[in-house]
Formats: sequence, structure tokens, C-alpha cells
Amino acid sequence: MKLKTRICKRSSINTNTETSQERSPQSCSYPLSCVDWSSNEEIYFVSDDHQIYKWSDVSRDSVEVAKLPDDFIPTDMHWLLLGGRSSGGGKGSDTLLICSNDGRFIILNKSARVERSISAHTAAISSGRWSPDGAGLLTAAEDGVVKIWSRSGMLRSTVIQSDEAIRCARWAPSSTAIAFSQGGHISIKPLAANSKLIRWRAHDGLVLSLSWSTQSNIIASGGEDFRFKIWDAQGANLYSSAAEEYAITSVAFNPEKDYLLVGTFNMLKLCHSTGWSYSSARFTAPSVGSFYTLSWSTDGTQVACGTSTGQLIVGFAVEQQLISRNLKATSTGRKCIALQDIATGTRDVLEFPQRVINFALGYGHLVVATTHQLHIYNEKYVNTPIIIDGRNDVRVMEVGKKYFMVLDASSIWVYTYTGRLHLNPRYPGSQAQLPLLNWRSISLGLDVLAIRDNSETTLLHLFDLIPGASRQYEPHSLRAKQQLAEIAACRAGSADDQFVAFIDTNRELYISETRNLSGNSNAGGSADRLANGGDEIYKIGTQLTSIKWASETNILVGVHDSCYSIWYCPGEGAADPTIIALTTITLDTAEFGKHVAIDSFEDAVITFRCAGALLPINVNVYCEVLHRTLQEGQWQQALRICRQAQHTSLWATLAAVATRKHQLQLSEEAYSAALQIDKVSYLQHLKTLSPSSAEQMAENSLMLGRTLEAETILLHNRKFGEAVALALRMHNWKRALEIAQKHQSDQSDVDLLQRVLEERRHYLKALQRDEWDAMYLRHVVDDGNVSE
Amino acid sequence: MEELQKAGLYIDEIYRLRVQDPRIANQTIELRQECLEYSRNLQVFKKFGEDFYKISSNFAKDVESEKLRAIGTQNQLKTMAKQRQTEQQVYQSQILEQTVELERMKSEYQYLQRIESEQQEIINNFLMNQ
Repeated sequence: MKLKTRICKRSSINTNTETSQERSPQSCSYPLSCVDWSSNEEIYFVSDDHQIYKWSDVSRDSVEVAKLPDDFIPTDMHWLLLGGRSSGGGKGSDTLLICSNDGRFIILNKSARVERSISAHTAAISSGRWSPDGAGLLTAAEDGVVKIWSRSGMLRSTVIQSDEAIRCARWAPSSTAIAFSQGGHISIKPLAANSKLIRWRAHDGLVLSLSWSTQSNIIASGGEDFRFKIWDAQGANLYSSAAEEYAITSVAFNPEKDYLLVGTFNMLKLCHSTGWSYSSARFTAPSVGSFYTLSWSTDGTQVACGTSTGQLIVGFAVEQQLISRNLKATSTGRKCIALQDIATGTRDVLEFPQRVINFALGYGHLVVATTHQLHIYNEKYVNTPIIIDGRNDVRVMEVGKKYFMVLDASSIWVYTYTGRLHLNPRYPGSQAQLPLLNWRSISLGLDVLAIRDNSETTLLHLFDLIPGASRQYEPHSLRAKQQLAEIAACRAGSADDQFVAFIDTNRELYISETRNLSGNSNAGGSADRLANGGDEIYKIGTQLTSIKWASETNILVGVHDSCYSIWYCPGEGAADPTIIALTTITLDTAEFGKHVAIDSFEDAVITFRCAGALLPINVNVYCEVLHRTLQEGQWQQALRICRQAQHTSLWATLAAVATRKHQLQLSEEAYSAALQIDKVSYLQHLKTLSPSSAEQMAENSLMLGRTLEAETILLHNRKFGEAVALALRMHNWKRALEIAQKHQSDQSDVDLLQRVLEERRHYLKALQRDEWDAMYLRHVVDDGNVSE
Repeated sequence: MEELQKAGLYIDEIYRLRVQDPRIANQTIELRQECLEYSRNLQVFKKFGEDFYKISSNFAKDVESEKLRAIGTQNQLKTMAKQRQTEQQVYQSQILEQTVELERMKSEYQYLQRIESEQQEIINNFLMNQ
């Protein structure tokens, strides 16, 4: 990937020639340190000549907007872009913040009229930034003070008071902490009361610039020691670059994609956010000087740079590549994508009328989002795309087998590849949270769309995508115990076997079915699900950094710190830890290098990305084929595959799926091949029961680890005695008593209550304890009364 | 003749009456002619002088510009080393970038080869078992 750049015309054409000739050499000599985007097309910039200019992408020209007072020397500028959404203190419009070197800052409205001018510090303000939630702003100055102000400019608090000058300050993406640099140190100050300041030595020279990524919550810093470094939010070093030729004057994370842009003298370096570099752009012919400021546009496609010689440079990334099976899409320009098909040997250049913002490739389709449109290309009919109008500024795209999902400025949309709108999911608070959603918190599966709630990050909304389901406003909700960091819905399988895997903030991996157990996917289920959600979410892994499902089968791959794991049967086997243990393979990633990420998982090939290199790895092909045959229900075929390959993980996979599908004979064989003696004997017991009776179904549910379902089956079939026995077997004393009391009258021949109490007495005797449970205590007393 | 001479009158060779001694008159005329000759020569000399001045000043201008150019070239020569150095740096970093890219490609190729051999093995296995 490369960065294409263009030096923009700074002086306006409207001014008459004489004055512009006089002024332009002058104004160009001022360093340009204040640059920011006011929309995806317009850049505002101001330098020491006090004149605010607006550069427009459409006209490729600058116009004067306003003039600052002569004694106001700007040092930093930041736009608050709300796009009409209300946040923090009521409905807001876009506002501009400009700081000066004499400790003042001004707030300007959209038409660049000064609304507030506040004297804030006793020395030059080095950074003035709006908080990401739009509720307030921070100013950090060379007098060592950081202050937080409300949006209208009222002082909220003085966060930091120190003697050392602050060179740069940035908000955390969650707006709950501030990072700032003093000398060679970086500090993080959480805003919560009584929280401790984290401070560490970051560079040998001055830290000149900071950037806090909204995508991955990491911090980049650039210093006078010619290096840039990447830190996590606790201050641990993740990456440290080799020494460049000059001091690193600016760093900036892309707000939407995993890029980091690094500016130094006469050079821009485009890096991945883990540190390895894609390419660098040099400016030798006309020297532009050091890059003082870098600012990405909100859609993350363009970057504006201000340099020490006063040049305004706009850059955008080209040669972004996506590869899926036989297709390769490469962006060759701002409005151009080349689609290459290796299978047919064709190469098509796709031109678009507008700027390409985002594109996604997969399942034989290329979906391209331009500024206002979506273009859907089928690999077979590349010349006739389907165009959808009205999707502006698409931020996240994901392609699935049947549908694709786009997240744009106004909502989330699920389309079919024919261009028909399939679903526009909504949940309480979805509109307000929209700008905070990113690819980590949203995942499209085969028949499900999973979205993590942003205000309550333990909550997962699952939208059913099967046609005909009443799904629009009634998502299932799934509540995890911990806050969720990343979610992934499975991309294949059948409609009945849909799973969602998620990593929580403790980096533990959980998996759950996306549909509720009784099979009815409508309203009543969701309440039940919340009530007993606990025993349906299974933990299957720890210390995960990222996960990905295979494109055609339900195989899951996850990356740990120094190894990766493949779960060959994460869904069906989730309930049984032994199955998970048998079907999980963990391999070392030492041969790849550090910081491994999963790039794709197509068919049976996992592609890892490590320091820029794509490293494809084959998973067990037999297991992949086994999954496919099982999906089609070809049991004999599956058996043959297992017999041929003779691998425990295959047998365990077959066993798990067969048990789930009530294939007793098959699962018995599979379990015996996988040496699961206990399961085999249990299955033999199962087979003695009359086929497809309530008892057998209940026992089968038990086998799958669904005690609740088993109990429900028994109760529905009026097998109260068995239900009580089941509860007793599970040592679920309270439930046993409840059932017994409730159905005492229905069952005349046996005294259920007596049986429960009898069992309880045995139990207490074995434990040699007196009764302690309040529910049973009552009965003990009753008994006492009766015996008296 | 003598009386005439006393009265200041002279007779020349062709017997014309003159008020001045014809020898002197002849000499005067000669002198005048020589003076005219002299002034003409002086004019020519002046022109030559002017031409010379023009040429020499032009030459001075040329010399001056040549001198500046020489100084420029000299300076360029001095900075050339540095320029080459920076150029070399640029190329070096480009080479580095390309090598990194090459390394990436190489490792990708290596892994792809591994996949190929694995798949070949599976195919062989399959054919054997049939």
C-alpha cells in the first residue's frame, strides 16, 4: 500500500493579482501547524498570518474564511464534528476550536464567527482537543497545566498542574482519560476520581507528538530521538521503530482503518497500527520541511498535512489490496479499483464517479462504497454492477454468504447481493451509539447479525436474518458476564447451528448459540434467554487477541500472544469441555514472528499477517470436508472420512455433531473411536430407552448439556416423576422440591414430595449435616409436627 | 623686388602679387593640412577608444557572469557530495523497503509451497487408498 500525495494551492485565486503576489511568498514561509477537516471534503487551516482558509476537495482551491485578531498566533486547531447528532450537552452543531500561543483559545461556529474567546493559560497552549464524545474539550499548555472545559467554554476542572511544559495532549477514545507528554515522558491521567496517574519514560528526546487510536485503543508517540513507538493504554511498549533520519514530528492514527501515519522531515511514512511500515513518501524535489501536523478526515480516506514551509499536503492511500479465493481487488486511485480474477485470468478496471471510501470482497462479490453509493459486483458479471444510492460515508462493511452489511452515517443496513434491503436493524439506543460502533463490535454471520451494545458492553444484540422472521425490532439479547471486546458470528453452517463467539475484556473466549434452544425465534424466548443465559455461554479459550470463523465451515481460529488455536468443532462441542479439548489444536507462532493477526480464513486456508507478510496455513482438510458433509447431512460419507483419516479430533467432531442431531448409532461409534468411554456407556443406556420418547429426548438433551431443556421436555410430556428424578440427579434440590410441590396433585400414584424429602435425608446423612436450606427446613419442621 | 619686399609685397613663381612671403604661405598651408590630418587621426583614435571601452566592458560583464557561474558550480560541487549522500540515503531506504517487501513475499511463497505440498500429499494419499 502506498500513500499518494498532492501539494495544494494555498492562496486563493479570488484575490487580485497584486496583493496575492505580495502576500503569497510571505504566507507560504509561515509554518503551517493548524490543519483540520471540517467535513470529508473541506480542510480548514490557519498559520501565523492570522487568515483562516478553507480548502475544498471539489474545487481544489482555497478560499479565505475569516481573519483572526493580529495578536492571536494560532498553535492548534480542532473541529468538533457532530453531524447533527446530539451528544453531551444537547443538540450540537459543528464547532471549531483554535488555541493561541498566549494562553487563549477561541471557539468558532460553522460560519467561522468567533463565539467565545477565553483566556485559559499563562503560557502557549500546545494542544486543544474536543473530547471524542463531544461533551467538552481539553487544553494543555506549556505552563504544565491541563484543563477541561465544557463545550460552551466553562471551566470544568484542572486535571494536571505541574512545572514541566506539556508538549502534546490527547483524549482517550472513551473520553475517560487523557494522555500527555512532558519532555521524554508520557503520562496517562484517567479522569475518574482517585485514579492514579501513569507516567513512563518513552523517548530519549522530547516527545513531539501523540496519537490515541480509536480503533485499537493504543497510543503512538514520536520523539526527537528519531523513533516512533507504540504503547498500550497501560504504558507497555508494543513497538519501537528503528531510528529514522530525522526527528518524528507528528504521528496520527487513522480513525477508521488500521493505519498509522508518521511525519518527519521531508517524509511521510504509512504504517500499520502495529508498527510495521507499508511504504514511505518522500518530498525531495521541492523540499517541504518537517510535517508539523497530520489530520485524517473522519471517513479515514484522506489525510491533510501541514508542514514547516507552510505547504498544505493532502494524501490518500492507494494500492489497498483485498484477496478472496480467486479474486484480488486493488485500489489503483481515488476512484478506481482493479479486480483481478486468477481463475479466468481476467483483469477489470472499475471506475467510479465518486471517491471510493471502502470496499469489501468475499463470496464471489465485490462491494464498493463511494461517497454516496454502493456498487455490487458479481464475479461472473463484472460489467453490470448493481448500484444502491443514498448510502453516505460507509464506515464498516462486511460480506457474508447471503447478505452483506454496511454501517453508514445514518444506520446499519443488511442487503442481499441483488441489492434488496433485507434488514435495517434497530435496538434501544442504536441511533445514539452509531458513531461509536466499529468492526469489533459488529459481526455478520450466515443468518445472524450480532451487535454489541455500546452503552452496556456486556450486552449482545442478535438479529435473525432468516427471511420471514419477525426480526426488525426484536433482537435476541445475550448478556455476558464480562464486557465484550470483540465478537464474531459464524459465517457458515445450517440455519439451526448458528453460533457467535466473543472475546471479553479479560481476553477469554466464549461461544454461544445464536438461536434459543426451544427453536422458536420470537419474542417469548428473549426473556427466557436473559434469565438463564448463564448456562448457554460456554468458555472455550483464554488469552485470545483475535478470532475468525472459516468462510465455509464452522471452524474457528484464534490468536494468542505467542500461539494460535484452531477449534475444529467450537459450536456443537461447546457444551462438552472434553470435546473442545479434543478438537482444539494449539500451535506455536514463533516461526511467524511477533504480533500475528488473522487476515482471512477462506475454506481451509488461514492467512495470518505478521509484519506485513501474508502467511497462509492449511488447516486439517479432512476436518473441513467433514464439516461440509455434515452440513449436507451425509452421515455415511462423514463416517468414511473419519475412518480414512483416523484422527481423534475428527471423531470428536463427528460425535458432537451426531449427538446434536440425535444420530445415536453414529455418535456411539464416534465416541468409542475418540475413546470417550463414559459417553459410550451413556449412549448405550440411551438406546435402551424407547426411541423418540420423552425420556430419550430428555436424556439426549442432557447429553448436550442442556439440563433446562431436558427438564422442560419432561414437564411438557407430564413425566413429573422423571423430572424430579432429574433434578435430584443434578443435586438441584430447590428445583426438585419446586417441581414436586407444583405437580403433587397431578401425580396421584407416587408421592413426589416424600421421594424428594427421602432423597434429601439420604443426602444430609451422607454429608452428616443438619438441614440448612430454608425451603427444606420448613418441611423438616412439618415432619416433626406430624411425627409428634 | 626689394622695394616690394620692403613694402611687404612679394611676387611668387608665377608672378602673382602676394602680401606674404610665398614660402611661408606654402608652409602655412602645409601646416594646416597637417593639422587637419592630425585631427582626423584623433577622431579615429577616439572611435577606437570608445570601441575598446565597449568591448572591454562587455568582456567584464561576461567575466563577471562567468565568475558567478564558476562560484555556483564550485558550490554545487561542494554540495554535490552531500546531495549524493542524501540521494544515496533515499535509494538505500527504498532498497530497504523493497527488501522488506521481498522478504514478505518470500515467506508468503514459502508458506504457499508448504500448503501445496500438503495438498499434494493428501491427493496422493487419496489416490493410494482408492
